[in-house]
Amino acid sequence: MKKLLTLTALAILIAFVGCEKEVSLETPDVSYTLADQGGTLALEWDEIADADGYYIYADGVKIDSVNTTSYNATTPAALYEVSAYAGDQESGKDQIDCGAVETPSIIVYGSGDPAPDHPSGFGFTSSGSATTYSISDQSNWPLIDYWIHSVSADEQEFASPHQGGQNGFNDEVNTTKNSGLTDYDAAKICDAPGGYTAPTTIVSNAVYYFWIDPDNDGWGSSNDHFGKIQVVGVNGYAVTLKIAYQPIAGLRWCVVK
Amino acid sequence: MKKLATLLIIAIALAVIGCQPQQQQNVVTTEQLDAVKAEISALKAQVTNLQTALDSLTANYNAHLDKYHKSMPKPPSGGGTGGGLKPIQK
Repeated sequence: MKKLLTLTALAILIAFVGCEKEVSLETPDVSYTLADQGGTLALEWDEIADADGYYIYADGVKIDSVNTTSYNATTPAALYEVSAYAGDQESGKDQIDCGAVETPSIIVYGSGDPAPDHPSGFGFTSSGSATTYSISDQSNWPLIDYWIHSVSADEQEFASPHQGGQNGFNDEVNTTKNSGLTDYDAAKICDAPGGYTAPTTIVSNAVYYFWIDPDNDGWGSSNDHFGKIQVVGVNGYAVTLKIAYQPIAGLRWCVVK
Repeated sequence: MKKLATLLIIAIALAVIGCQPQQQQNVVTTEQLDAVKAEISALKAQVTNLQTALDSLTANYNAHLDKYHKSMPKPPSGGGTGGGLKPIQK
């Protein structure tokens, strides 16, 4: 009788263990909007069945967990990820790539440089890389996001394309702002609009924030872009730059991937 | 007789010419030389001053070119706006 009871208890236990459902968590499908004039990445996703909550990762580090289906990311990072969890189970992670695209080095020359093969303009390709353009070639004008204006042989400044030539290289009103920093990596988020100028005097080693505002309509998430520029060196008219461009329109973060 | 008279006149003429005193050679005294030297020194100083003034003028002119002409976008960029761009802030 005692044996029978033991066996019954064992059978019941096995049945319970066997009946415990293996939870299969789907990966959240994360989308985003921008808030705080591009200072905040507002993440949101649909609820995942059986999830107890959601983990938030920034650059691979778990920074938070929530049981809502949205999260306001205010810490600049190059990569945000969201996963669902239930107990000790975790789903796959959906990623939002918010890293800035870096151009390690380009040389742009002040407009006073007489050498015809020394480009004075630069702009960004669709991938976010910076490339130089000669302002002497009118076919380049639509591509120019900034150019370097020579006040004198030893004073250069970032200028907006609308300030070039008699009627502007193009209509974009693009500005820059000295961040007050010299540590390129320490510049993680561009200042909100306010205090951005054109032209802006170029100082060696300084880090500048830039704001591309093609429509000159204030901050917007349709076609505005932000980033940072370090002036690596100035040698006469030659200005060597290191640039990071944020591909997400309107986002002010400039953490490099 | 006529020949004799002619010869006599020639002889007298030659004598007169021959008796003309030699023209005095140009002799420069030490005082005159010193004066000229002083004048040259003064002129040299003036040239130096002129050179300095010219250098200064050239420097100013170059600075002007840099500021108001060379700083224009390269042609045919539309002529540029000259040395100063109209600043904007936003």
